[in-house]
Formats: sequence, structure tokens, C-alpha cells
Amino acid sequence: MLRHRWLWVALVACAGSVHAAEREDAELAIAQASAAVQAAERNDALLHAAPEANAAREHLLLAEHAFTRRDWLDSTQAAEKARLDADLASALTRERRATAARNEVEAGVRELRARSGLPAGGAP
Amino acid sequence: MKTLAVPAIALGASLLASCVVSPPRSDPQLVRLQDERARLHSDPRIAMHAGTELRIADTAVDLLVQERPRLDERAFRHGAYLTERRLRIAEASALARYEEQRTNELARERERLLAQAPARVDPVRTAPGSYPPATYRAANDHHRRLAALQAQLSGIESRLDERGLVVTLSDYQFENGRGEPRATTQRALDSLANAMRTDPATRVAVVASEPGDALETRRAAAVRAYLATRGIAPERVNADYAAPAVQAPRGGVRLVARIDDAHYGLTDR
Repeated sequence: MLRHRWLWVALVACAGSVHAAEREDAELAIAQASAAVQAAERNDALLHAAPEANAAREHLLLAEHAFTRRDWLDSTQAAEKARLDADLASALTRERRATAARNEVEAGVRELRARSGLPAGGAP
Repeated sequence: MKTLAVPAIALGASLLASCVVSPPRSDPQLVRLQDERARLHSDPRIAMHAGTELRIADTAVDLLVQERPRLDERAFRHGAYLTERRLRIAEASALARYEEQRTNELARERERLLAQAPARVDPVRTAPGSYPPATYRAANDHHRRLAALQAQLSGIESRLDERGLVVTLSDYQFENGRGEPRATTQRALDSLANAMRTDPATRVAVVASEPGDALETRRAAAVRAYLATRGIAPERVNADYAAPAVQAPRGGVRLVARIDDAHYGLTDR
């Protein structure tokens, strides 16, 4: 049993000639993508990772349009892209916030070390 | 006929041999993804802090390589897109953990330096009652509390610097040509009000880009009024300390939050 069933399902579904994406698959993929996009936007991904957050929103719209056309394969694929775009936007937002926080604390430590007459790096 | 048969047979045999012995050409996209995976594994910051995201990305690359012969072009491009995203997610997640760990280490060092610092190192830098606070310990405490406040904000641009916690509302966050904040801006201000309620010593100055300009002054007043409807006392949003040091964006409004323990008799905090 593969540990990462979702990827296996995605790759096998994309084979086209073997399996066709069904309506339920498309609905589930859109629901997951929508949740991921909302989570990313709540985490301010539009401020910190705008290209990825915008790509997520665009792919989600494409997925919804394909769903109304009853193109289940197009819809599922676009939704899968949207979900990973949103996850990437969230991850990049976390990384950039963490880097900004580290820079700020590091600047404070450097100043304290300088005022204490200590070298800029290493043990006190 | 005989003179042509031998070269033709030889040509056919050499073509057949080349098909059998030459290795299959690697797909450039697959090569790029495999190279990217190798780069992540060779970066110690990522290898040491990678979680399940990198294992999932590894599996995605392996599956794509394995299934390539069976996939049509569209399916392969889709799989390659997903795999590339998985690799980038793994990298960003690992780097975030690395930075967070470094921040914790630096914060502990900062506490250690403050505890060890002799009195002369933590001097009065500015006049008592002015901002930033007069001692490093107080500055450290205010920074920590403003950072905690910033962490509660949602949907709003903010920056923590020597002026305090500076929150920016741009022109597009207000109704066109009017003073009222948009619905999404109101939700963002709700998060600010909720955060201010968790620290009663927080005060905010609301600054318009052009004092006296009718629209921007109305917008600044609308922000103060909105925060008041969310239970923030008017004296907490009427601070004027930021006016000389802060410039709001054109058509926008800037809020500067600071900790003011002395104003609220919280000097023992």
C-alpha cells in the first residue's frame, strides 16, 4: 500500500487512457483547494508570497469553471495545482516571517554585544 | 543489386545496434527535478530541518521518474508541476524551521546578555518618558509585547521597528473616494482591536498622509471611530506621539502602536 495515496491517485488519474477523473474526485479536490487557499490568505500570504497566492486563486477559479463545464479531469488537475500553490504560499510566508524575526533579534544581539564590549559573534 | 545489398544490410545493422546500446535520453524536466532534489538534500539547513515535506517530495520525484514512460505529455506536465511545488514547499518549510530555531537561540543569548550586562551597559539613552524606552530591558519587554500583538494581526500590513508597531492601511483599503474602511479592512481592524484588548497598555496613533486633507482626515477619523465601536477607549487611539516620525501612504492611513505602561500606571510590569 503506498504511503502517499494522493500522489498515486493523481498520477494514475492523469494517465487518461486508464482512468478518468470523476465528479466526486473533482468535488473533493476543489474543496481541499478552497480550504488551502483560504488558509493561505488568512496567514497573509497575499502580503508575503503574492505570486504563489495569486496563482492559487487563479487555478481555483479555473477548477471551478471546468467543474461547471463537467470537465472532471481539467477540474481535478486545476484544483490540485491550486492546493499546492496555496500550500507553497503558506510555507513561503512562514519562512519570510521567520527570517524577518531572526534579523531583528540578531540586530539586537549585535548591538548588546557591542555595548558590552564583546565581539560581534561567538560566546559572551 | 548485390553491390547495394551489403551496405544496406550494414547500415540497417548499425542502426539496430544503436537503438539497442544507446541509453534512453533523459527528460530535461526530470533531470531538473532530480537536480533540485539533490540540492535540497545537500543543503545542511534543509537536510537537518526537513520534515515529512521533503520525504513527500522525494516520493513524488521517484514516482514521476518511474511512471514517465506511461504518462502522456499532459499528464507528465501536470505531475512535473505538482512535483516542483512539492520540492519548493519542502525547501521553504525547512528554512522556516531553521530560522525559527536560530531566533530562539538568539533570543536566549539576548536574555543572557541582558542579565549579565552591568548597569552602565543599560544606560538611559533618552529622556525619561520618551520613546523608545530608556533602558534595554524596557525596550526588550516592549518589543516582545508588540511582537505578540503583531502575531495576532490578520490581513493587515505591519512592521515592527524603532517607532513601534507600524500598521499601514493603503488607499485601496477604503471605499473609493470615501472615508469608510472596506469590509476586509474592518475585519483586519477587528484583529487589531482584539489584540489591543489583550494588552491594556497599548496605545495607537492614527496618522493621515496629508493632515488637513479632507479625505484622509476623514479616513483617519473613521479608523478611530471604528476601533471605538470595537471597545477600544478613545484615549487609546488618540495618541499623537507618531505624528512627526511617520508618513502615511498617499490616500492611506498609518497606525503606530506603542506600549505605554507609565500612562496606565503599569510600571511594575
